[in-house]
Amino acid sequence: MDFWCSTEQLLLYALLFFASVAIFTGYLAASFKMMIMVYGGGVLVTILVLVPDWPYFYRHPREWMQPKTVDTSSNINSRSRSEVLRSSSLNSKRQNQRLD
Amino acid sequence: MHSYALRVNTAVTLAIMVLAVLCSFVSLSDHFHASSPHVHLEVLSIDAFQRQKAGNDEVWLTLNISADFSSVFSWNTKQLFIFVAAEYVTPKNVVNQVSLWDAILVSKNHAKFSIKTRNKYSFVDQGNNLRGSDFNLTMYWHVMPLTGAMYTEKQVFSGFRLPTE
Repeated sequence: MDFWCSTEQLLLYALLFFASVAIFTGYLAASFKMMIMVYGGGVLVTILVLVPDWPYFYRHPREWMQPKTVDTSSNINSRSRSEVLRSSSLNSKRQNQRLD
Repeated sequence: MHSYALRVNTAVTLAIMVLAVLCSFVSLSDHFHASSPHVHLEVLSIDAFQRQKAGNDEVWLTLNISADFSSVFSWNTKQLFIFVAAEYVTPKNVVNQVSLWDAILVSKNHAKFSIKTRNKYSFVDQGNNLRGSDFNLTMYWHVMPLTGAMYTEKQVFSGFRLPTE
């Protein structure tokens, strides 16, 4: 998500927002039932907005790096020292190209 | 979060945890609730004063109970359990508390009442020490909240005496 926070954080903030709205309206109406109903409605709205796979969730995907080959220990022992150094520098160059 | 079940599970768990915090705030708000109930108890007449087969004294009285508990109800009150107890001292037992009458008030509409009634539960002593003894009538009320801890308060009316017969 290209939002200001992740979906999980947004879930928590939405729940806290609906909880504060609920306690406010419940206290003013002097009715516990009102508070529970407002909060329950808020939870349902939150689940409807955040749980299903809506299109806006994959509008701006994050760029991930290409996977690089892993130097296993047998690989390192069999290859010469210069070969290992060269392969690791090649990998870092590839990484640098990816970021810009 | 690759499956719907996992996401709904997380959301519902979080919602219930936030609900627990919400309920604790609600029960804390009860501290700011001022209650001022008005109670009046008196004994209208002693109807019967007998001795049971086992040798224990038994008394039947008519009480006049009038009370206004509507200010005790807050938004976090589920019901009010009230009862009238007779308390006295005998040579045998230092503390005697006998429940004479009780009621459950479910809402503010039921909270104001005035009745003349016989004691619901029998007033029996352990022994035969009730002749001529003084007793207090105490009105207890247990406030049961929707969330939070129950608390109880009382009001004592003293100065009643049983006849020596």
